[in-house]
Amino acid sequence: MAQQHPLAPLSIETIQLHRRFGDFTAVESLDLEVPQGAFFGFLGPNGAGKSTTIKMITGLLQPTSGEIRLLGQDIWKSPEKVKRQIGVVPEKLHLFERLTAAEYLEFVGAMYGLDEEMILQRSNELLALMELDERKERLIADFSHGMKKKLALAAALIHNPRLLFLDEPFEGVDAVSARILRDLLIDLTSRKVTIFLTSHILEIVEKLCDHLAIIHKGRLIAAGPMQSVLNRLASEQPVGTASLEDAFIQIVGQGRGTRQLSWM
Amino acid sequence: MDVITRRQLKALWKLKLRLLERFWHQRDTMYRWTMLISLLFSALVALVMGAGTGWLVYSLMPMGKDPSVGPQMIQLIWLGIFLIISVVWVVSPLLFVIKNESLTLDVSRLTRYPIAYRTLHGFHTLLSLLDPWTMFYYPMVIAMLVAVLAQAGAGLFISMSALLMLWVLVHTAWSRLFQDLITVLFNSRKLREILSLIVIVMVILVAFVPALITERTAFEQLAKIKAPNLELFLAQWPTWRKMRPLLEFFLYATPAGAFVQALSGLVYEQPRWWLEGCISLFGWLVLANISGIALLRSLFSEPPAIVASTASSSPLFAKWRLPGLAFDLRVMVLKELRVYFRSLLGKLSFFLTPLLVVILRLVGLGASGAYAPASLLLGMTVYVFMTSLFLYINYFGPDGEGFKLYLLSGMSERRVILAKNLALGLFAGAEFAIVLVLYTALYRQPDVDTILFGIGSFVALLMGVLSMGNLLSMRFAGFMDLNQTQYRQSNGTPILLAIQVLSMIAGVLGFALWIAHRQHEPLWLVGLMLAGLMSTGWWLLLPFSASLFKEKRWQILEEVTKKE
Ligand SMILES: Nc1ncnc2c1ncn2[C@@H]1O[C@H](COP(=O)(O)OP(=O)(O)O)[C@@H](O)[C@H]1O
Ligand SMILES: [Mg+2]
Repeated sequence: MAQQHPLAPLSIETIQLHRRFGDFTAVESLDLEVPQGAFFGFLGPNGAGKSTTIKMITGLLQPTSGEIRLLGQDIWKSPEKVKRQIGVVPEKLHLFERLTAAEYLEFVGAMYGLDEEMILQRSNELLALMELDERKERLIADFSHGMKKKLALAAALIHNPRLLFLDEPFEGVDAVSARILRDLLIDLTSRKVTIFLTSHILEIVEKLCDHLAIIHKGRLIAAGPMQSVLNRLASEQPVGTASLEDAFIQIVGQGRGTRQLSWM
Repeated sequence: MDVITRRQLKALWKLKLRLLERFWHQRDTMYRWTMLISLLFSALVALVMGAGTGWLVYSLMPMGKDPSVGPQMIQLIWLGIFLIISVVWVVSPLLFVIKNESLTLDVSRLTRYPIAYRTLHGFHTLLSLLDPWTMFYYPMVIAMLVAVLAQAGAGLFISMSALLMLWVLVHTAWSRLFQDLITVLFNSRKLREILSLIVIVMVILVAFVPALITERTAFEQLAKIKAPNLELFLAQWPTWRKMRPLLEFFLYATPAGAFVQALSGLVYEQPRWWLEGCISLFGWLVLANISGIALLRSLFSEPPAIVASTASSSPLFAKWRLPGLAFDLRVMVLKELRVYFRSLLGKLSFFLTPLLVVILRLVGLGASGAYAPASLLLGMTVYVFMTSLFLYINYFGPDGEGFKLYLLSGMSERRVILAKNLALGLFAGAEFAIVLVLYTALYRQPDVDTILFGIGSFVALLMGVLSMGNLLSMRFAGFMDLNQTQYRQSNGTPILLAIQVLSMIAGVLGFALWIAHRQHEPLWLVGLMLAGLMSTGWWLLLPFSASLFKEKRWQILEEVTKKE
């Protein structure tokens, strides 16, 4: 791209990304730029096109048109090579439910081509960190949703990816686990791992991320470093509605106004 | 092969074994034995078929050397045999298409890993070599090998083995491709429903064959068909000769043709034919592989469109009104009816019997007058329930999390059961009405006596089945569907019980009909009596069911909300 910064090489770059389902356009002309090492928050209400975008970027859903570059390479041109460098926790976790957590990590490690010894060592560490080690021998089928999420995250980390994609990682996770997750993610960014995270909750993104993009009805509304986007949000606000949450809701809920129930 | 690919293949193999092992261990002894026995039985059938095929190949071989017959005649017969085997081989996994991660590796779970489509497809295809339906064909292949070696000499061992290996691989690859194609089709709800409907109709039609044969006219017709005999066939050879272009087309344009070409090349010492056949088979293998990889790639990156699923909630059911019912009952009955008609199983069970009545009329069953009109109608009425039996013994399974509403809303147990019964009654009643109309239109104008008996027996059956459901649904609440292989699937006990109860009621009705016929009693009276009896029974059982429901509701809640 023309305006690529020499100082901040891009980890993720999408150019005019489109996705249609039949007549319906889920994602339209999406241009995203995520610098290396960024903690990138992708924010939007339900149905905005976040999962569709993350699936296209991680090579799970073919874009209708447009280009995607991860670490300078086109994932749709050399999928295996690029997929080895990224970790994904998709919206639908799709774990193999009849494996135990340890067996699942072993399988995933092998899929990324790690050797047995390394898998064992990393899997033990990951299970301990996610506090899943007591349940090592239980089938994943018996896990709660939050535990499955943690396991999926562990699996996404086992091959030491340079880029991590998380689709709604905090959904259905309890407060304690959420704290562990948060600390882990922050720690990862300090090690130059780029994190791309989607959420429909501004608060989460605001607390964690340093870069922010807002998508609404498949279109990008705002994007850039956290503070500049927030400033823009605040400046476009009518005076008096100071909270950022208000600003966000105002933007994505344009024209909807507040509604009330007639009987309550 | 590089290290990573090797590790991936090893991991996939381990995964498959683990899942299979878990699948096996989670079954009870009963399930394992039935499965083992059915596998053994199928293997036996395959062995017999294999020996038969081998024998056919063997016994026809010398004939081809007879100049008055010629190899082409034999090729034609072989082509017929192998075309059938070929098609059955490729299509047979359809019987096994079950969504179960333990049995088939669900590719959608593997998409996020850096694995090449080539590797995945290759692995998938090779695994198919071990699938039950593929293994059934091995005895056949071995029998063929033995037959050919016995007739043409052991010197052919290598070339014959190579040919047979190609034959197996081509079918494995095509059957894999076929399965993936089915998966793509199954991703579309509509297509899935249509396909399942076809399969079930076929199964039930096959179940009707004995009835068809016992029909008087059917006997006569059967007697008219002479057993196909080879001499007669050979005598007609000149006419067959005219079809030579067609024969050649099949010889060159199908895997079975290529196989026959190569086989006759071996048997009749024409190395060129063998080579041509093998090359062509290899071509088929490569073609299956290329299309398989392409299909897999599209499966990976193109999810099934979920478009139009909202549009398919037909306005017909949305507009239904049931005047004269209390509001809560009406709402619940409507909800139940909508659920039935919007689900695959509901639609299946509603339309199956009418469809069968039409098809069976086309086939000629019951047209000969061998059956008395009332007994024919009774049979159809029993079938109305037979095809939807699981709806009557599984009230709460389909509710899932929605079951909580019954507990939260404060609706009385008795009312919930009543609503369920009412909905099922309307469902069955509508189906019965259609069957009645079809019966009148397709068979004969029934007299009033027969119609009244029909209605009476319908009510008797309905009440009997509902009483049974009011008990069984509380005792065996877990969700059931046609897929009996799912994890933690409840066993088949309730459905077996239900079939027995239904058969008993049907037996009583049949017996009463028989007595009435003998004593020349009016049929309507018998129908009315039975209906009254069964309705009374249902009414008396209702409070008991309600208290059973009350007692079991927490257990039911646990069962129906249990995660897969
Ligand atoms: N396979 C599909 N077929 C049709 N429409 C789809 C499909 N997948 C997603 N959509 C639609 O695309 C829009 C965006 O979905 P999604 O990306 O999942 O939203 P979210 O931002 O909540 O993750 C939604 O309106 C959804 O209905
Ligand atoms: Mg989403």
